[in-house]
Amino acid sequence: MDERKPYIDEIKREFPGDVLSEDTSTPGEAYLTIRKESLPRIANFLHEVRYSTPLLSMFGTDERALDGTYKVYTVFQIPRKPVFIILKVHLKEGELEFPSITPLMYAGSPFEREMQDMFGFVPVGNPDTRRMVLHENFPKGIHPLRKDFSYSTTLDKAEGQYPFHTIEGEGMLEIPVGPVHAGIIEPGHFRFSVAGEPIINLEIRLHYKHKGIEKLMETLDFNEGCRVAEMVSGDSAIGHVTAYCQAVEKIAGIETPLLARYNRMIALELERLYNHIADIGSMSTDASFLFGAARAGILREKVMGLNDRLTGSRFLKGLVVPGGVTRDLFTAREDITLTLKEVGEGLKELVAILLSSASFLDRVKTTGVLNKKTAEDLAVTGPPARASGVDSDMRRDVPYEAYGEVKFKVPVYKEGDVFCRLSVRIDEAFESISIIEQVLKKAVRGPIKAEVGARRAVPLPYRYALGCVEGWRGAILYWIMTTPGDKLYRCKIKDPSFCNWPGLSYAVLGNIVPDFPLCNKSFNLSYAGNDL
Amino acid sequence: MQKMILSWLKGRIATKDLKELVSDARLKDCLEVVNNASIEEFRRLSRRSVHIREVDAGSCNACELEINALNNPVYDIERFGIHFVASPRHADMLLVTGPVTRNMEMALRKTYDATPEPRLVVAVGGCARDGGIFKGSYAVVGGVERVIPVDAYIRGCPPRPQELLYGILRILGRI
Ligand code: SF4
Repeated sequence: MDERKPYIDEIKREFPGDVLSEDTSTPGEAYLTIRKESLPRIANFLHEVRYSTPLLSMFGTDERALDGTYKVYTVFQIPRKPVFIILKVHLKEGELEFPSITPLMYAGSPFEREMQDMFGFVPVGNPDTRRMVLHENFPKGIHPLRKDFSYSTTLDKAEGQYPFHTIEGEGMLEIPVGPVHAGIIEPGHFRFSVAGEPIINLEIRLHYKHKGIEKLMETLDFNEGCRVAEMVSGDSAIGHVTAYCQAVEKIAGIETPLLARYNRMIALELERLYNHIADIGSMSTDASFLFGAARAGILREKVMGLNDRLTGSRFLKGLVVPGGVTRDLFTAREDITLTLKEVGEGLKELVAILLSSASFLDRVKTTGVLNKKTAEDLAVTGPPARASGVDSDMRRDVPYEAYGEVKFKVPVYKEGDVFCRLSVRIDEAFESISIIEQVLKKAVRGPIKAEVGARRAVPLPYRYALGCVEGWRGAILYWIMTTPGDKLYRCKIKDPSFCNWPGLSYAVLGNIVPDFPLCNKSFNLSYAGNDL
Repeated sequence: MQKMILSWLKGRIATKDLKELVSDARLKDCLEVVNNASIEEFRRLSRRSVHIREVDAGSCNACELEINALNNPVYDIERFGIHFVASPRHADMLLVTGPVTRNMEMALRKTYDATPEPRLVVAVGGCARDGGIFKGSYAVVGGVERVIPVDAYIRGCPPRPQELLYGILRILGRI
C-alpha cells in the first residue's frame, strides 16, 4: 500500500473542502494544493496537533510561466517515515498576501521573511516584517527570485539602518559583535542584551554572505548545478551535492548503481567524521582545553589527507555527480581502513582524556541548554536536536542511498546542553567509522555511474522532486523543479543551519557571555549555507 | 591524565617539516604577486613576527577551514612567528576570502581602514580573485580588488594549507 495514503486521507477528512487537488507523481512525496486560508490550520495540524512533524522547509516559486501564479510550498516530514507532505498554495499576481503560519509555529518565521524579500510575498500575521536576506544596501522593491529579475542585474546602492530589537531597563547593556569576528570564522552579527553577566536576549543577524546562489542555479542545467551545490557550504560539500543529485535523479528517473550508492555513503561519513572531530576540538578550544584541540586537529588532518588521496580534494569535491560518482573509492579500501583505524584509536584516547578532565566537564555540563519543546518548535535538526531529545535522523527515517543495509545507532540525549551536543558528535563519529567499515566489506562490481541526460524525443514537462540527506549538521533539503529542457527552473536549498540559528539564540539565554563561544561551537552552524 | 598527555607528547609530535611541506609539486603556481613594490617595502619594515587578520567577505567557508588548519599542530604557522589576531588594528596583513558580497562590502572596507600601515592584502581562493563562480551576481560586488587594493593572490578552491603556508612564507621572503 502507498504509505502516503492514510495521511492524505486524514487531512482531507479533517479539513473538508480545503484540499483542492493532490499530486503523488513523485515517489514518497504528497503534494496537496490547499485553499490559501487553510494553510496555518493544516500546517498546525501536521506540526503540533497530530504528528508533531517538523517543518522541513518553506519556500516560494514564480510559476507564472506555467499557470500564471506564484506558489508557496510548505514541506513536512512524517516523523520516522519516508513520507513528505507538501502543502501548496497558489498566489495570484497582485494578491501576494497569504496567512502566516508563524503565530502557530515559530519555525515558519525565517522562511516567510525570506519569501518576503525574495518574492515580495506578504505573510499576513507574521510579527516580524523586517528585511532579512537583502540588507539595507539593496534598493526597495527588488525581488531577486522573481522570473522577471535577471541574475546579473546591477543594482544601485541604497542606505538605511536595520531596526534591531532593543531591550531597555536599568543596568541593561548591549554588546554588538561582528560581522567581522575575532576568530577565523564566517561573518554575522550578534547583538547581546545583558543584565550583568547573564544574556537576556541574543539577536542574530545573518545573510552577510548572500551571493544569490538560488538565482544562480536557475541559469544552469541540472548537470552544472552540482558544482554549485558543492559551494553552498564548503564543509558540507558532499551532503549538499548528494541531496542535490538525489532530487535530480528522482526527476530524471535515474537509478544510481549500488556501487555508487556505497561510494556516496563512504564520502558522507568521511565528511561527518572530519567535521565532528573538528567540533570536538573547537569545543575544547573554547573551554580553554588546548590539548584537546591540538589532538583533534591532528586527527582531523589525517581524515583530510585521506580525502585528498582519495579524490584530489580535501573536501571530497568532484566526487558526487548526477547518476553516481566519478571514481570508485573501493580501490583504496586498504588506505581507508588503515587510516580510520588510526583515527578511531586516537579519538578513543582523546575522548577518554576529555571526559576525565573535571575542569572541562565543568564548562560543558549544564551550559547552553536547549529544551526539547523549543527544539521542536523551532524545527531544529541534527546533533543539536538529538542532544535535546528529538529522535530523528534521515539516514534511518528515509533510508536513502543504501543506509538501509548498514547498522548504526542514532544517539539521542535529553539534557540539551553543550555536553550532550558534544556527546552526540562523539558517538556519531564512531558510528561513521563503523558505517564505512561495514560498507567496505561489501563486495560489489559494476558501473559507478548511470547514464544521465540522454536526449529525449519528447521533452518532459516541468517536474519537481525533493532530495534529502542527513548531513553532519542535520537535514539538508533540496527541492528542484526543472524545465522541459532540463534547466533548473527553481532550486530551493535548505541548510540545517537555517533552522538551527534560532535554536542557538534560545540556548544561550541565561548563560554568561564568556560561555557564548562554547555554545556557538557546540552548534557550529554554517553562515554560508544559511545566507545562500 | 597527565601521564596520557606526556606519553602522547613523547611519541607523536605531528608537525611536518617545512621542507616536506613545500616539496609538493602542486605548490608551483599557487601564488600570484600583483604588487611587488609594496611587498618589498613590507619585507624591509617587518622582519620578524607578522600578525594576520582574516576576513571572510562571502566565501563558501572551505577557504576559512583551510586557513584555520594553519593553526593546527601539523602546519603550525606560529612556529614562523606568524600569528592570527582578533582585531585589524593589531594586524600587518589581511587575508581575505570569498567573492565580496554587497552585504559585506562595507565591513571589508572598514576592516581595511582599521588596519595600520604598512599592511599587505592577500586574497585567498578563486572567489577572491574575480568572484569565481559567483561573478556577475546581483548580490556580489566581485573580487577583493573591486573593494580594496590587493598585493597578492593565493589560488585554489580552496588552496590547501600547505599552499597557504607556502604563499605566505614566499610573500614574506622567508622561502
Ligand atoms: S574559492 Fe572555492 S573554497 Fe574558496 S570560497 Fe570560493 S568556492 Fe569556496
